[in-house]
Amino acid sequence: MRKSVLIVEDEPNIVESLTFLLERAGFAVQSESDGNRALARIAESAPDLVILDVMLPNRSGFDILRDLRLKGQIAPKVMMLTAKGQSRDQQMAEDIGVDVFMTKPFANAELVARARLLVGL
Amino acid sequence: MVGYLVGTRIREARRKMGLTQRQLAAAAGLSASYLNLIEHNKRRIAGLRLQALARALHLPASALNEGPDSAQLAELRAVATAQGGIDPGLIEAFIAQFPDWAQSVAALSRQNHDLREAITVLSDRLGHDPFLAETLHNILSNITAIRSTAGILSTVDDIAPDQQRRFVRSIHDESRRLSDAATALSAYLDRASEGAAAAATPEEAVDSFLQRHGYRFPALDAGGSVAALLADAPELDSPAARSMAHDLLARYAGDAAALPLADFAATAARLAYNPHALGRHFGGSQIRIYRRLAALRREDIAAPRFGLLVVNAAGQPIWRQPLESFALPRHGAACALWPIFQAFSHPERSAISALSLSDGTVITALSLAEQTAPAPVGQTPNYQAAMLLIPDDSLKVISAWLPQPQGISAVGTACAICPRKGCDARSRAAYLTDIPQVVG
Repeated sequence: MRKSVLIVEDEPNIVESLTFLLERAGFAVQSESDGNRALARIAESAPDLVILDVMLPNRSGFDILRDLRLKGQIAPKVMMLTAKGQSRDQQMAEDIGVDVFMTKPFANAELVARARLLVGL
Repeated sequence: MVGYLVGTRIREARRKMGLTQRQLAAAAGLSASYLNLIEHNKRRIAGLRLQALARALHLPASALNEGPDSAQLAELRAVATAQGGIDPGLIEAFIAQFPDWAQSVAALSRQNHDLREAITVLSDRLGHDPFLAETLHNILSNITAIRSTAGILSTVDDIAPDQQRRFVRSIHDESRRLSDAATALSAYLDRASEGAAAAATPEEAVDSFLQRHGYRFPALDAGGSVAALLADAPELDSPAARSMAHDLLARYAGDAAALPLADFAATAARLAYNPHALGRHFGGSQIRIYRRLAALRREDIAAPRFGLLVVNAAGQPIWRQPLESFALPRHGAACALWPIFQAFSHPERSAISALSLSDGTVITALSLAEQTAPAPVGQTPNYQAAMLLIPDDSLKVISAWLPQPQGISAVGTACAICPRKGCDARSRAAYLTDIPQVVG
């Protein structure tokens, strides 16, 4: 069975390239652009991996991750992808329970390799 | 401890003069062996013997037996504490033995402190400017999309034609957005460097605001509201700056109500802009008369373009309206030789001075300190001082009443940018030591 990934990102062109890359790497890909709907989408689709932007409409990626981890759940794996690359942002994400923190712009090969590693491909 | 240092100071002073112990001892009427004990701090010295040594060294006795400057001592203690591993008990001996080094270390410590403050202000501005944060975020998002899509197009051969067209369109769209964002950022930074948005402190923001208005507020002279002026003040980008500007404008509005412009301008012209005659005519605060004279800087009024500095008793500027030929420092202390500071020693008595700057400019200034308000019984009154700067081209208009100043005082703008050498009032080294100086 294919591993699934939910891309939570509001930039359509980034979603398109990520979708292309991850599908070619063997993932079943879905996407969501609104911060408020992200948690419901995660609950519905139970992805193996969430790729989470920080600056989202209505709700930040930090808040979404905090809610996810509040319940003590370690699933799904979360890769945070953000233009906010300051060390205090990374520290905050790690404190909340992120699995991988990557900054934009990213290298395609590295992103795919890390995604595969996170889900054990 | 002070006594312990006297011998070290005598030895340093003797060496500077190139004298041997024997020569100095002879000049001061002491034996060489006794001087040797004094210089090694093994004998205390005071009174006539100290005075004799001071005379022989051409120094006042106080230079040998006074303790080190307490501010310098405090600064070096702070350096010792910050660095760690330095015995604070040795600081006095260090100052006595190496006074120039001690002064340099203290000056470097001050500069370090000032630079840290400036960096904090600037990084705070970068970190909290919403426009910068959003624009940089957008630029990084555009670059991310372009880089990722271009990476796919250049490394993957079997892309479906439809998908390929979408990727090319995506690069095209993101490039255009990137170009727009870069243009907006460039325009923003240009505006910032032009001044309005470049204010790093509330004082700078208020300065920019006053400069934009040319230090005049016709709306307030016409009975307009302070709030309306503050509503159109993008430079005032912090609550502190808005509060400072509000106080200044409220005082201006109070001045305008007490001394309406048209009447004041006509009377001032009749009395040849003599602030004392105007004070007798209108009554009230003399500094308010200075402020109203400075407010005559308008295109529709033919009057001298006065400059004005008003400071509180701590020397902090409250109103800074420079003349083109006489700059008023934006940061830090002004030249201690300015008559505005001496005015505090003889309140309510105005003084006229001719001030010569290091570039040869001579400026005439009237200075005065007065109480800000009557003090309640038993309380010390608050004072402020003002210096009215008279532009050169207006001297003829007002020469009828202007007494001749007693000589010309050589002054600077601020120690940090002043090239004068051997100035008793210098409080810090100049940033540049090779500023050309006009002689004569």
